[in-house]
Amino acid sequence: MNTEAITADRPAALQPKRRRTPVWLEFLSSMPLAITLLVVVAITSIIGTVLQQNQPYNDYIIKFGPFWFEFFRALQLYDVYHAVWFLAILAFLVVSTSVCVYRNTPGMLREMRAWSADVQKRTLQRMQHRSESAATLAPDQVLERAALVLRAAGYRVRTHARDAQRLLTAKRGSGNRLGYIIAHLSVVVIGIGGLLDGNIPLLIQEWRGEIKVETRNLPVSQVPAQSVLAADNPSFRGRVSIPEGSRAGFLFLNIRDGYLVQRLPFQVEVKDFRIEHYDTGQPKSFETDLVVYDKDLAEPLRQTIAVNHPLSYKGVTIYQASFEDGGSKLTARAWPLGGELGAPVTITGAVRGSATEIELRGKPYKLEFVEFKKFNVVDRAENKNKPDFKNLGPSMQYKLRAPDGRAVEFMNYMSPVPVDGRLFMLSGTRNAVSEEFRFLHLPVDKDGSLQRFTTLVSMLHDPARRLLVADQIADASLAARSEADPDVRSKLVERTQLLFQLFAERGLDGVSELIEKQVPEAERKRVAEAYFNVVRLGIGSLYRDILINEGVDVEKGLSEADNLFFDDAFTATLALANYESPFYLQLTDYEHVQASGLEMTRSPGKSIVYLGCTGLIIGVFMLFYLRQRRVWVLAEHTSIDSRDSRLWLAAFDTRNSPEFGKEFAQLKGNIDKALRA
Amino acid sequence: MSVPQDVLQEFQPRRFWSTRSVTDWLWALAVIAGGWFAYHQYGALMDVYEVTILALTVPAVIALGWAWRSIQVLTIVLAVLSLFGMWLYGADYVRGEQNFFLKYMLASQSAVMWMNVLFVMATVAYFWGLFARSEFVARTGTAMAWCAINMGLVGMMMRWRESYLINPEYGHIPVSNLYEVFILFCVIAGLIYLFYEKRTGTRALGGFAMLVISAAVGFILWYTFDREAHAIQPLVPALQSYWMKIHVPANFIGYGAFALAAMLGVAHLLQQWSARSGGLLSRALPGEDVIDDLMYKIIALGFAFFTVATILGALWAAEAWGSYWSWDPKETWALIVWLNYAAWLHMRISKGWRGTRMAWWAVIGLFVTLFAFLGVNMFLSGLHSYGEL
Repeated sequence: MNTEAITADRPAALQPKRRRTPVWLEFLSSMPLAITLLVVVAITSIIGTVLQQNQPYNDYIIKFGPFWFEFFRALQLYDVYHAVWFLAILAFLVVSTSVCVYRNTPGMLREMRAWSADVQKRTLQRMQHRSESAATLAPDQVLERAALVLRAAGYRVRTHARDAQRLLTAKRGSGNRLGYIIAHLSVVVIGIGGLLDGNIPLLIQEWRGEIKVETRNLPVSQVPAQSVLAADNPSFRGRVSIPEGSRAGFLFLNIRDGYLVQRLPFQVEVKDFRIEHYDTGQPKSFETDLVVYDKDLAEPLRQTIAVNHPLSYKGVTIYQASFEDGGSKLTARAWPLGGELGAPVTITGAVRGSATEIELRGKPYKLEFVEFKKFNVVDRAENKNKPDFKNLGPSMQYKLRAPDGRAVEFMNYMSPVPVDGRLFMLSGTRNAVSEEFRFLHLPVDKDGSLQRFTTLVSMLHDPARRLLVADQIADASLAARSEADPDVRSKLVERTQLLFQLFAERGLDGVSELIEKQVPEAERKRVAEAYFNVVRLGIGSLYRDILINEGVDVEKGLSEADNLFFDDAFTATLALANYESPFYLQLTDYEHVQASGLEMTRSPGKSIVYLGCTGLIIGVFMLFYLRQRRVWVLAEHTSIDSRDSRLWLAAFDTRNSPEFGKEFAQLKGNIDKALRA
Repeated sequence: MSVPQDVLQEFQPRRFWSTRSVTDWLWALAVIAGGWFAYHQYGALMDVYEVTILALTVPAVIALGWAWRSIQVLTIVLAVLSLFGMWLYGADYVRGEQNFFLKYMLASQSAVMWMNVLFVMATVAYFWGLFARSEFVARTGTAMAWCAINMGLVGMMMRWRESYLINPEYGHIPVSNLYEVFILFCVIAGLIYLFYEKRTGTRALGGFAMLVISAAVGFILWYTFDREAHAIQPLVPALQSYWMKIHVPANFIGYGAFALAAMLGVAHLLQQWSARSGGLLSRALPGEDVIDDLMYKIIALGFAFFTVATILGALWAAEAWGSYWSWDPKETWALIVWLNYAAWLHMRISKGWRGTRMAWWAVIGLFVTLFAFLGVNMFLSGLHSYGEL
């Protein structure tokens, strides 16, 4: 990078002396190359911000299809900032800048030191800022007074005697040149520091076959030695998730579609992980109590880390990066929602632990707990302007996996959740992680229990009960008629019973199918309404029995709460047909175990990068805010026998900025004034 | 020798301190007193780094006031209004709705609205002054711009206080989300413009500068009324750091400067276009050289502070995320902006490029900057996601 444009009025004395340089050096330090590299780095950097980096390779295959997936993979676009070609461009930029600094520094230092006393009168007369005048003083006195003015204006001044001529050279803002050198050298320093912390050593080791990225999901103890890095590795950045009460002496470095295991020179234990919340439910702090064990430590090192407050030990810095469930132990109660499970059953397990086998519909199903949340803070505001954050309490997520591997995911809260002023047990279901949960609302009784609702459902599933209710309905509807044909009655009972059975097993869908099979099209709407009412009547009758059993005097009429419960229960029975589980799993107890996600880095280049950064700031400010200016005053006797002088004043500003014109005029005015005094 | 005494007197190099006037010293004392007051009142809420920042702010404000006297007036008016507002509030946030002065003038919402209105009026005044060739009208523009900046700063000071009144746990400097930094952007861009207005002595470019600020005002209005974004929210853990106090303002000196440079580019291009058709603009606007030089100076200022901001960001990232550079989209786009203006400056300084193409480049630069500032938050995900729209 050559620096300032050589302007026409720049004196030859100031032009750097050029030695012959090899063509390749000339090329490396040329400005067009530098600009091209700056632009190329800028444009290629965009790739990694548009294409999400370091995602699982499967996601890319789904997104791009097999052909483009391979193509992009070959170009290393999934981790573009660590791609060989990208690092090569960066390295090239660093080399180009270094060559530029190397070539320009000697000349610039010379120029800074030089007083440029070899300037000729001709040169001064050609400069943009110049003047010529006379003074009734001897040349020495002229220079003496000019020096006074220039020093007052902040210039450094030196006078030179040349035969009969007296020359004053003054300069100011030479630090500008130093700014250039510091700024560009700093870019090189930052580049070197960055490369030290980068992945180049790993790339080389991988290329030489010394290490191999592991892609299988293995316990750390089984990872082959080729994929394990020793604790003395000078530079790394990796993560590990440690459950509360456990310790680890390793990290995972994610590389492309696999990982390497990085051994640590010590062991880290997570004692406790805490999240604190604001009253809005937003997280206020994430903290982990750490204990570091090392044979070099007399006492284990105990420290709490938090976001923005890491811990450094043995050159490794430990950060609070994330958190997840560390295998909470859950106890849940399965409420039967159909005939199969007779009574409530208790299921226990750990989040992401081993699955529990359950036999359903005669087949072995697997139940896996996948997530536990102690707090569920949601905005329940009806009015968007006034957020109303409520904690709905603990929740769990589990998967019910059929023998064919297909799984449905459920999300159930531990406690009933208020909806429209009533309490419900909520159960969300979804078939894929990408979907939203669809929620089933089951009403709870006075005790907040599902007892009443599940009793109702199990009665609906009991054929003997259904027969009883069908009989009651037949009696009630035939009582209005005068003649009682036993044939009509038995048909009516049979039909009603079938209706209940279909509803219990398959919901309204089952009833609709029956209608479609047996009823002519014109009649269907009317019949559907009638059947719906019969079903409602039947369930109402079952509900009455439950209330009587509970000791409620139903003859006096139902309380509002009991009426509402029935409406909600009926709605829930309608929805049950689509609920993909024959039981409702209620979380009853938990032992919360969290895992703290720690990021650990060792970056030996950090201090080098910081040094470069400091230099860059200093250099850039010097470059922009120190203007390099030079002033010459040349004086000689008007004639050999005269006491008076002629003087030539000239000045030069490397930036050629407009305000220098004013500055020059002011200097000239002051010098004139000093000479006249 | 023969140098007369009075010449000696006049041109004797004088020490910097001896050139300070009484007002200068009064100003310095006032700022020190203000800094001490802030420390005395709120020192308990600060950590050692924040106390350091406060301590360094004092000499910085003194120097700024010495170099640019208008800052002295601005600071004093700001201090008086803010203290008055805080006194009216007392310890009760509800008074913002009850007290007349707070409700219509000093509560952060109202103050920001005043800023919005004043900036739009300043834009009109500057353009009016430009086309009517009326220096008086243009001077009104300057006055309104100063008032707008003042109200914007009052709004920020009050918002800072209000965040503590709502809930002491929420309390933080209001530079933590898009709504707040847009106010900061308006204030900083306005100040940079006014500084160079004084230096160049022309108000002809004011309308162009105010235009980009008015665009930001439009965003604030949309953001307030459509998105209710003015509500004060507590800080997420990642932002709870003293770094925010220096990283964000430094960044906005950069963004503000680049936006102004782009508007100068527009002025430059319009002037050329107008010159070809002998239009009014070519006569009303300052010469091409003046605009060109100003554009260079503002980009240099922006670049210098953007460098500082990016480095501060890297230092913060090293403390919060575990690495000084993670190629996060926001970081990467900051680098792209930096490289873009680095290339611009190299072309200008070393290759001597001037004129139309540099003006176009500065205009395009605004779009790159805008993407780094807003686009990344809107379209890309990453660690800076708290700036989301």
